[in-house]
Amino acid sequence: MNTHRLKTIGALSAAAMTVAVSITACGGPTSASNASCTPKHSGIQTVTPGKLTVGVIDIPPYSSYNSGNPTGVDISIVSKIAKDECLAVSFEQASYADAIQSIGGNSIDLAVGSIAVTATREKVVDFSASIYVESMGVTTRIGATTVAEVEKAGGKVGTVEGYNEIADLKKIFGDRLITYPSSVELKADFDNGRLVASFDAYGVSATEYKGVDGVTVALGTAKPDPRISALTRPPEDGFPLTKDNTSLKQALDDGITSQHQDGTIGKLLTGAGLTDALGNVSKTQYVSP
Amino acid sequence: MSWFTDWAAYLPQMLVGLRMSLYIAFVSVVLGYPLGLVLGLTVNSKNFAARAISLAIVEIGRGAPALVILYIFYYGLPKFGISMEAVTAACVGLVWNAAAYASEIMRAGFQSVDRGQLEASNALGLSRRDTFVRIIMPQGIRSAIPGLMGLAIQMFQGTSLAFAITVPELMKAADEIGGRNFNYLETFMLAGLCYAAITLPATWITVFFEKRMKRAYA
Repeated sequence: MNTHRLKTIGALSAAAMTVAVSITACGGPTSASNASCTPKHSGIQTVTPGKLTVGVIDIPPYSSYNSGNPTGVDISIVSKIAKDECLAVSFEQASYADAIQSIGGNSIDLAVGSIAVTATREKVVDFSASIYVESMGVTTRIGATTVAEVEKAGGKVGTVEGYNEIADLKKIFGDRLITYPSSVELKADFDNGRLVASFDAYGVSATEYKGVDGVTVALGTAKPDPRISALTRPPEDGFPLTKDNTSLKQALDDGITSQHQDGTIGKLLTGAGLTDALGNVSKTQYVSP
Repeated sequence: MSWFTDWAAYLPQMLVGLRMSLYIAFVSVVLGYPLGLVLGLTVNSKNFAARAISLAIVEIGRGAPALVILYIFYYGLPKFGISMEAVTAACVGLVWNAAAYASEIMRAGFQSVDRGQLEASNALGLSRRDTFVRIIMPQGIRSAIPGLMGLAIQMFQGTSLAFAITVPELMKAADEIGGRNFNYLETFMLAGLCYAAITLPATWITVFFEKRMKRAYA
């Protein structure tokens, strides 16, 4: 009797596991496409026909996987483009490293999450048209609003790996600069009091410290430090996508341009607590060195 | 540019990271193993408090993933006013991890010593201390050596977790380079080769020692 019962429990557990694994293997949430819909562009090539698979990097307010209910500026932009192109959207959680590998390996179509367009990165992936300007935020508890003021204050400072300004910050701060795997760890250490200043994306810091007493978040480009090229000429962010997928790139470029023109991106930025000035990208895409 | 040309450009930064990885692994082993010996003994102590504390240290050290321990030491403890440098936090966390595993390997080594030798020591009137220091420990440690050498290799590999707490070790160097150019595959392949350059010879040395010891026991 007991053996029979154990076998039953075992079989049920195995079945439950199989179902769970199957569901997981299918990826994240998907929004369905409309069969009667007419796309703005025809013949868009995606990893899965009829579906746009998007890697979501957690960097609120730009994009957040949010336990399967993605939110953020980038998510809204991509969702609108997918809707206009009659594509279902499937969101998958990603990090910078695996998103790029997944694009190269044709597992996802593009990635979202405030990714700067640089010449070095363009050797590996293509980029959509620029969405917004990436501005560094200077976050301190001492009221400093510029890099020079932080430099004078002494103490350790932190930023996130992969940011364009790292090389210049390293020259200024040397061993005082600590780089973190993500904004989460950077914030944790700033909150712990190890850091005098945190140099993160302005949008990220402004969201994290909104309404927090004693913490100042200044826009790095407001009084740009001439020693940091990313402040004198801030990088522009785009969606990285599979190299040479011209049909998808065209759809993304046109979708982004249209959302710039009708003010959607500006509204999304202000809605996220940022300035719509970040949406003022150059007419010819600026590719950071 | 070919991978080899790129690797040549990445290598100097990688080697700086590798040096840090080796340093942390060295500290973990040099401090962790003696601590493991102490824990291996006190886990069997007749004193309840000593036994309970040692058991808690060993079980938490073995049960909690090293990454969790590192996060607690580096990001968690400052909430209680204890703030360590990243490298110190990595060393402390991995020393704990190494000590916990080493204690079990050593305890197993001590228990592998034939019980007849313990009885013979008693019959000869040797004290408990002399029995342990002169009879049990030399033989127990000897049989624990292959396991301890394997653990040292694991500790070296485990240093890659210190990347999460900003330690400028090999994995962090690779991640920094990958973040700049998006060439994650070739960057992490080089990091893998750097790790292998240490772990493979270390594994061969472990196998060599195991064979030598088997011959000695034969």
